[in-house]
Amino acid sequence: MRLLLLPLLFTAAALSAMDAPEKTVGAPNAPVTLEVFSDFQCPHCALLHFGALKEALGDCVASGKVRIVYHDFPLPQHPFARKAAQWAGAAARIGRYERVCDGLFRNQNTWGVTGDVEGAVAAELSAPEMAKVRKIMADPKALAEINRQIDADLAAGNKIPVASTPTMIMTGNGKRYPITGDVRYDFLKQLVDRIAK
Amino acid sequence: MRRALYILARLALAGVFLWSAIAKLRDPWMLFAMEIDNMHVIPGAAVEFVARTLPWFELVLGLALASGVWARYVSPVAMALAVSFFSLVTLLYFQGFKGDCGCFGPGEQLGPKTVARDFSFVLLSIWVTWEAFRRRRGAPAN
Repeated sequence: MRLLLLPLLFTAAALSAMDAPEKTVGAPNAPVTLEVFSDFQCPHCALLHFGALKEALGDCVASGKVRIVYHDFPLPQHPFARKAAQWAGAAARIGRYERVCDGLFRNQNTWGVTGDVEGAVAAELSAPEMAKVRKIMADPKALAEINRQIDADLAAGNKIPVASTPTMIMTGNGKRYPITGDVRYDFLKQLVDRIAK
Repeated sequence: MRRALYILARLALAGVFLWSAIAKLRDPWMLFAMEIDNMHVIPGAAVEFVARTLPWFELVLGLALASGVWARYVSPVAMALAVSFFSLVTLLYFQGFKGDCGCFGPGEQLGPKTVARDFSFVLLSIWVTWEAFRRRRGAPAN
């Protein structure tokens, strides 16, 4: 049984090693880690973001039980998902990842049609903040680094494998559980409580 | 020969239900609850009840099939369950559902293979039920 668990733990350790700190929320030593693979153009990802994840942020994360790690998993059928992940990645570099995530998920029906991701990001940030984000996006070196991070997230997701978005991987107490879809918070919380014991 | 085939088929069907039950019972019930809830096919209030009881029901059904007791009562129940699961996965597949099927624990995405596999379980359960009833009343089923 322990031998069976080793590959899972190794994968979890590998995922943790490449977590971008600016896309991580919660105490580093939290007993439970929740890895979220999502796509900014995916409607179910938006439901999860404003549902169970928001509740988790105010409850399990605030109490130090859970650390959430966000991974970008732009699906090929969503033409602007990667662009959105790039802008969110740039916003993360100035500490505005969550705010931009909120805006992108809230308005995905608008920019998902027009492709105006920049406009959606600008609506969430102040003018000086947006200027910094635009500067990051205009810097080829910084953009390449953001793309590298997105590719690393995609590679990590494909290795699991993530078959649909949203997919969460809950790790804790030596166990690892895949969870798909926009799940109910009451079940998620009970699972966290069980693992965090 | 036919009797041996019947016993083998019944044991195979028992194995399916036992495998399904154990795969769910070894993980916390909340995982199965989230998989069921994600399908949006049963009322939210019933999700917890189904998630907590269905694996135990499958376990009892699998043990009953394996032992061969009350085969004429147990096999139709197994067939009804197999038909229900097949109908559900087929419906979800054609609706474009991309989540976990929850059939044998977490991590299995519902797809054409799931539908084909569940169809084979339906055929197996029909044959086991047919054989259970074909035997003359009073004759041992195994």
